[in-house]
Amino acid sequence: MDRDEFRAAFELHKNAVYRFAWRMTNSPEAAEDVAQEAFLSLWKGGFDTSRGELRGYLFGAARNQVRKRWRDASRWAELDEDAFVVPAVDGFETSEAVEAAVRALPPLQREVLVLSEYEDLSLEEIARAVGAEVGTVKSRLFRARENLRRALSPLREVNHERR
Amino acid sequence: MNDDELKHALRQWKAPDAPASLERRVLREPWWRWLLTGSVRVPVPALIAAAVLVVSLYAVRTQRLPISCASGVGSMKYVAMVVCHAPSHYSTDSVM
Repeated sequence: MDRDEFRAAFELHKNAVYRFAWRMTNSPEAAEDVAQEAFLSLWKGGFDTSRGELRGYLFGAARNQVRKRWRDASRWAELDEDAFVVPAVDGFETSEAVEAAVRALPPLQREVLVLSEYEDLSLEEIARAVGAEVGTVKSRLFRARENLRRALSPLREVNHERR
Repeated sequence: MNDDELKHALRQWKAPDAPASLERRVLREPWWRWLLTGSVRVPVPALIAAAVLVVSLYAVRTQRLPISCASGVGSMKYVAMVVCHAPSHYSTDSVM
């Protein structure tokens, strides 16, 4: 990959990679670091098109950086937590309630949800980015959505009352 | 909450686009451009410590100036006294 190709890839994917990192880290500074590392790994290692879509590769690299940070902070201990239940969020505006609920999800559920709902990746692309089977991704996505439905149910009641 | 309602609710949470600083960090522009447009993030405690250090150094320097003049005069006096009261065997004759 030469400099022009790299620059084009950066322009095309910088916002998506940054947004993903931002939603995963809760911090603009950390998101910038993560996005930088993801693009630098592309620059250093290059990209082979046989490995799928470039954006999938970049999300995977960003995800590994996020995971590394979380592991360093010992916050990745309970990765998936089948039995985890996000507490109901109440008394917020919709965007704040959604933010709180998504950020309360266990990391492995959160990453597949963010990639699916916000970045519109297919199940196959998500599976490649997070290094898991498609079936596993489906299952995490299902649990994430169930958690969010439960957590955001107060919003629905408020919206119905307003109508 | 059905799928559509959930999807609609999730879309309410917006994320910002990448800041311009990311481009500078990744594409590494020439150093002279950074001198013109760059910024440095300094932790407040470090900034305060640096400011206190600079002020202290300035204060010490301005206070020392008259003292160093006086000590200079004193040492000259001392040299003069040594020369005046030097023992006879230190006289210039014996050295010569």
